[in-house]
Amino acid sequence: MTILETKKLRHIYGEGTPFEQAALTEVDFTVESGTVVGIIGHSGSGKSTLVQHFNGLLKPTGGEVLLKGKSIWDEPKKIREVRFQVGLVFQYPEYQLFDETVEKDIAFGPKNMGLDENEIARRVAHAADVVGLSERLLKRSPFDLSGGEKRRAALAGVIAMESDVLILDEPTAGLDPRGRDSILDRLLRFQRESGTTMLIVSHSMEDMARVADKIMVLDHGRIALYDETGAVFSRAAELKALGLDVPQITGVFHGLRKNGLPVEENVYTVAKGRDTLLPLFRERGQGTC
Amino acid sequence: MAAVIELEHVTFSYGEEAEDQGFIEDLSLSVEEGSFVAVLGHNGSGKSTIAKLLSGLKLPQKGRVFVCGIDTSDEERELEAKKNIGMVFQTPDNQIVATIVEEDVAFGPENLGVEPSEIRRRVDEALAAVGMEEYKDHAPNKLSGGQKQRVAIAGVLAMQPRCMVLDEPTAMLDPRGRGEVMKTILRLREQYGMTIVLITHYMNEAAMADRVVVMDDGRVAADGTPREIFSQVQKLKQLGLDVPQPTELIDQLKQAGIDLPDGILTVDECVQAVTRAFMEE
Repeated sequence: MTILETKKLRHIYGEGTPFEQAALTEVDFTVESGTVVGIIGHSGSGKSTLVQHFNGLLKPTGGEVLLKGKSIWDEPKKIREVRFQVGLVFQYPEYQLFDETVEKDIAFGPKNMGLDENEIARRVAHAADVVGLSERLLKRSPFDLSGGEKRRAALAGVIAMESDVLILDEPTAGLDPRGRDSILDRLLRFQRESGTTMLIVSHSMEDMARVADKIMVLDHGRIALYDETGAVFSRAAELKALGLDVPQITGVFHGLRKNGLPVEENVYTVAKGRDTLLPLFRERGQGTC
Repeated sequence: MAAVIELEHVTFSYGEEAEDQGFIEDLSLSVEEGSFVAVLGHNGSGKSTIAKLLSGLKLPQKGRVFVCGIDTSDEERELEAKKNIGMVFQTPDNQIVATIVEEDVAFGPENLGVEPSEIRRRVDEALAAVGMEEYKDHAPNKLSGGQKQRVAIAGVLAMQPRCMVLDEPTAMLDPRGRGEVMKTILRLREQYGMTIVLITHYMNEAAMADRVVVMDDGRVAADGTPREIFSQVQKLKQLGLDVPQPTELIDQLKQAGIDLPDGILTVDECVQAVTRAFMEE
């Protein structure tokens, strides 16, 4: 089922002024409910402009955005409801923490939705559990947390809104490898359990390879590629021309194939790489079973 | 070769209220002139604190920090020490001050009281070194992230420090921007013999250095060539770090009993090693 769709979506900043600049031109695509879509593109390709259209932070200068088949701007006064259904986490969301305690900060969204106390408490506990924040931390000021914990608290605040679509702009930027792995694993587990549709913007091809079912590549405000993750990463030359790259492991398999090894080109995680090579080596009598 | 940077039994902490913010304990480290050292470590391991100590933004509570032989806590020679260390931070926007690229690059030498003709020469040279000479009349805010970061590097270069300390300079950049900045860093070392200290979370960037220092709990947990460090896959994972993907693939294949060499770091080396092992039979 299609949950999110754009039709000839266009966005021009400063339309009608001398500073007019087209950020999105004729963007057409659909997102299936319950999938994870990665959005990549070099700086200035239109990624952030695009995601801000999904919950009505920006209004299209042409075309439309449909949520569950209905244009989100049909009834402009109801745009607030769209924002409850489509959660958006900005880059470096920890800068948006503001409340006295972590608990109150996470509760801010659900409270604004007009939920009752019990439901708010349930959601806060669940969201904290999803991101791995202990009960002890919930009572502390968000400003006393470490950088990684702050990031988790900010994510929990949006997860607690239990929206149908969750959009994350660079959720792992600036985190160390352990922090990055932990947040991605937890987000992915949450996604599998809840069936939330997720759109993730990232500069890290390795992260995208781990989480995305499909990848959209933006270039100069247009969709350059939109396909299954493996299919996108098999087009290394095109990605490089667009200022992007493939995960290093994919580069290894392109090289092996060029050297005549019978491997596929769409290997994009280390685990898949190992599982591809081991049987080949074993056929040749190498390695233990 | 002489050491440009020396830390002698340095201890520093931000106080009890900030226990988890990168303290340093009894750290001794020296960096040779002209070398390229990458510093790795999880968040809060003390990496960025080293940068702040080297730049003189923080002074050690115990021990001493020397830059080109000058003690950073020597108030009379503080400026001289600072002149020898150029700093580049994560966000170039916080570091760019002027509205025209070449004026921004001139800002540092102007403040050092350099002669105008010499400033002109240095600005041109610095912009050429980072490959941004074409953009000298542009406004920095119209540049891409990678270009801005290269302008920030040129601004530091124009002050002619002997050592450049870069604290996660590519964290905010897209893959092309990351590539541009890394190429610039390698060129500075080759052409100017600049000493480079690169603090990073990207293992493939650390793999380009001559030496990798791994920080954990305010101490040095490992110190060696990239090959030595990244062959300790399990240890790095315990320290909350990663290894480059080609290294990890080789490690996993070795664990399954395939005979492959140690110390594989790059995509090309990995392709060669696997191909060779495969063709042997």
